[in-house]
Amino acid sequence: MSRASASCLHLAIALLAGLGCGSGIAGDGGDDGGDDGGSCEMAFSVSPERPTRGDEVQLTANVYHGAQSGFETYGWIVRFAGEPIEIPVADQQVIEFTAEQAGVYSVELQGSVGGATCIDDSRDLNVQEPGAQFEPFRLRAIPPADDPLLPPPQDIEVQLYGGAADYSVGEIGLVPGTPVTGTSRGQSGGPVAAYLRARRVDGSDEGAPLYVEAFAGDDGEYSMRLLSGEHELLVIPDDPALLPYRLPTIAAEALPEATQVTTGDPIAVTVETGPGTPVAGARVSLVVDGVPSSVAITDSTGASTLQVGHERPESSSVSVTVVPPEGAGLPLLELAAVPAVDLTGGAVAIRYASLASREVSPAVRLTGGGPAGGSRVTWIARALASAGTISIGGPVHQATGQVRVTAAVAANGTMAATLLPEAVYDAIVEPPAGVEDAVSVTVVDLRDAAPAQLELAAPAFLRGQLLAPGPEPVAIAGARVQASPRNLLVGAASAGASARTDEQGRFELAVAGGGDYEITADATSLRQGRVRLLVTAPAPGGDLDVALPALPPVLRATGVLGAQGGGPVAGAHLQLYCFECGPDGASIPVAETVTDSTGRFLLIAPNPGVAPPE
Amino acid sequence: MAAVHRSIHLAAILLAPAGCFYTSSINERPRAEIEKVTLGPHYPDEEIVFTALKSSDTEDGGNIECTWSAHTCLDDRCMDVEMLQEPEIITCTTEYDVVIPTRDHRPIKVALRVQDLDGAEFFDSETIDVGNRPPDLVLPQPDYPGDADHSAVSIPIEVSIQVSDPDGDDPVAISWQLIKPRGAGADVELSPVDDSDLIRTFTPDTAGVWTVEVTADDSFEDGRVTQFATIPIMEDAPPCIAQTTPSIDPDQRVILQRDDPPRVFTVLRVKDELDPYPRASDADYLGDPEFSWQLASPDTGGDLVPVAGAASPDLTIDPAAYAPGDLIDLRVEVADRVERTIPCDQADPTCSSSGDTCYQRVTWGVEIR
Repeated sequence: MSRASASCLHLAIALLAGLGCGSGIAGDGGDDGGDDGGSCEMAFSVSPERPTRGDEVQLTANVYHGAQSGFETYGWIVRFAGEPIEIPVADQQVIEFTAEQAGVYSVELQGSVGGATCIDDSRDLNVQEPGAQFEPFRLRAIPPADDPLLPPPQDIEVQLYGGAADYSVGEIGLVPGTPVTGTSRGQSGGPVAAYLRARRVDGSDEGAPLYVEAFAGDDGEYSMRLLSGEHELLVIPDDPALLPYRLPTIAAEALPEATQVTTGDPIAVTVETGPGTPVAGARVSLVVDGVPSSVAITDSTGASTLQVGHERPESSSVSVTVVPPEGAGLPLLELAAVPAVDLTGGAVAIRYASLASREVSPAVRLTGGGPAGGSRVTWIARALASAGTISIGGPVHQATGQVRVTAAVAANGTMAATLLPEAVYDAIVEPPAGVEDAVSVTVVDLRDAAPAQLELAAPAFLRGQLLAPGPEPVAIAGARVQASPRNLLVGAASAGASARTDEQGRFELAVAGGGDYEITADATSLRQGRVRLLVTAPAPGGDLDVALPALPPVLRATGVLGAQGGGPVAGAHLQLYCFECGPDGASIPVAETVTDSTGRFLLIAPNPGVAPPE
Repeated sequence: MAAVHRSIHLAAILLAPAGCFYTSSINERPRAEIEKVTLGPHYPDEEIVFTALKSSDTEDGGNIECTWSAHTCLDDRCMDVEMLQEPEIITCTTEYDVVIPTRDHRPIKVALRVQDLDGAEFFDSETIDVGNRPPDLVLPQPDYPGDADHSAVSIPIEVSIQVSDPDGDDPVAISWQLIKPRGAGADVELSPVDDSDLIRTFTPDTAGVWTVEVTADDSFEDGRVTQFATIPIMEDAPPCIAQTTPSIDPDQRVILQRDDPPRVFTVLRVKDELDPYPRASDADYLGDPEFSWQLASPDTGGDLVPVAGAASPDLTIDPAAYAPGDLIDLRVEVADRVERTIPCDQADPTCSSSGDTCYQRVTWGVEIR
């Protein structure tokens, strides 16, 4: 029985007692001990249900007598910030106190019936600031993975009320999971090594997918723990020649019977260049209605076969990706999802456009002019609108081309010769370890000529100051500020930067000039908040004063994590997500913590504040 | 009473010459004897029960009256006394109770006067020594972090005691002593946490067995008791990557589809005495672990290279930036405030300096489809 329902039952019993249906008068039976196993139990109700600062708060004890009868005693302790508050009469069934401050009051009720000590009740009581605003958050609970009996990871929506420094979210009961153990099998029934990924289909994790993943080894066996209910399951065999499959909705309990590679339909694939030369070693894959096909690797004749799922609608949405063999000087071809394609008996014919290619091998220099041995150059082509054609079952579609090629720079500063389609490129040069130069981004038009030289760049500097909220902003020292590259620089391992704020809360980050960055200032370990900001760095050598917003006000959100029908969940990782507070409106984590051995937790969470006075 | 006897004898002498000679038997004095029912030794706040049942009177049908009183002795021989319980006349078959005062260890003298119907009386007294019991001192309790039975260098330790005096809360003086292992700093000392002096704290600066000795003394004889707490202090152990998402199987690769949203690879939990992640407590001594990331991908030529600026517990991989079939290795290493070298070859996907499941390095394998 949950705490809430138990309280309701007790309240009902208390009301019945008031109507004359009680268990009798003390001593009438001569046996106040009541040794038949029914313990009495104390619970309390609060009025008003959501008290605000300044309210007279009334606490009423509700007694479930069990097998006990007799004289009732009550003992109350109410604490604020760990200190007991004075209650004029603390041994009555109903007590009152004035909530002079907003925050969490800890209430303990003990008592006895007929001399027998009852099961006590204790819980936290929120007293809100007048005008407290609330904000919903997603609390993601991830219990330790090493205990298969614990509930699976899950999301719980919680609401935090602002204004006070503390807020109790109370007891959170995780839903027990369903252990799922099965074997990944091939069409013949033999075991198939595979990656399995399940996700609930109820949309509860929208914006921040919560996957439960498992690996089936060579014996095909896997185990996972899922919430009951419908899931989407994706299974991708390790062998790319085998057909992946996706089950859009399947109950957790039915999953072990369903992890078998389904029958596939073969699709013939051919890849050739513009002049009709077969392309060997190309990797071709399709995605049909969101389900990947097997991967076809073309032979010396440019031909191969892949498989798509047999269980599909007559007309499907199909996208195609063709990865050229390394060093071929060809782009990656991509056909975005084409609707209403009939793959029955179809074939996929891929023909590259007649693209000229050019070999590049520039000298790569440090800003001081010396050779930048050990650096890397990544060539990223601007979009190639007509890089080839792809025909699927007859109709021909234009495919776009992508080129992303990385080449190493030798000790003498010369980049390894690389064949690239002629196009406009962003050439990203990443410095070797130990040099102060920064990543450079150079636009190169290979349609004209190959560049003779590329250079690293002087860093651009992002500077700022991190302040705690309040009427008199206070500098935050020791917070971590991190610049993570975005857009073009995603994947450039040398492009990021991080620093700790100094005593004045100031920071300086040396980044790639002109690059797009997400700045994260994280003071959660200092019991403060976290802010994120998108910025574009100035040109190499330039400075930018980052107008970092003050850290958001925070509160201490406390609670207890348990398993429904079980005990507390210790060692669980908790992530608190906002729903759309990310720089681009994304749902992002704003606080993390871990539960202690009694399931209790403390999150330093954003404080929704109070409504401004009208 | 002696005066009364004398008057009776005088009356008998005077009546004899008058011719009505009357011979009366001489009244014998009753016998008084205190019997202590409660066995000793005796301590403050205790009730001692006495009876006068062995008192007697051979005449008057045995009818006697008992008067009890109790006194506190003011000197060694109990010559000088002060009243503890006023004289109380009770039937001699009734028990007499004396309650030893709180915090008073002086002997008590109990007096019994027995009187018969003729007014003859007799006295008895008994002196009771009142002992002292030493204070009850509960073994000092160190507050180890979590459920541990030891602590580590640099973590403040609070040692708490509970003390009471069974003799009615005699004032108890507490003294603390810290016995340090070799190599400990001279400036490490026990500091009181509050005015009660029931909790003291110290911050060990070296590994070894530290001992806290607590003495409680109620200032009376045999009123001193000493207890010890031995506190094992370990060196700060290397941090352990305890949980990640996605979970890691060194022999398997997480599959990302190109049209998946960016995937965040996260260290969910680092266990460490001083630098855990995430922090779940307000303790001032806690700090942050340092995370460092390495990435091997086609963009790095397949070599593991440090990811500059990646110092948080998570790193995002955007599968859209890769091609189907690309293989990515994503490695994270964690360090605490103690400088140490990860004792593994760069090629090892995981590393545990203790050779167990406490990993300072883990590596995800990722495949793009």
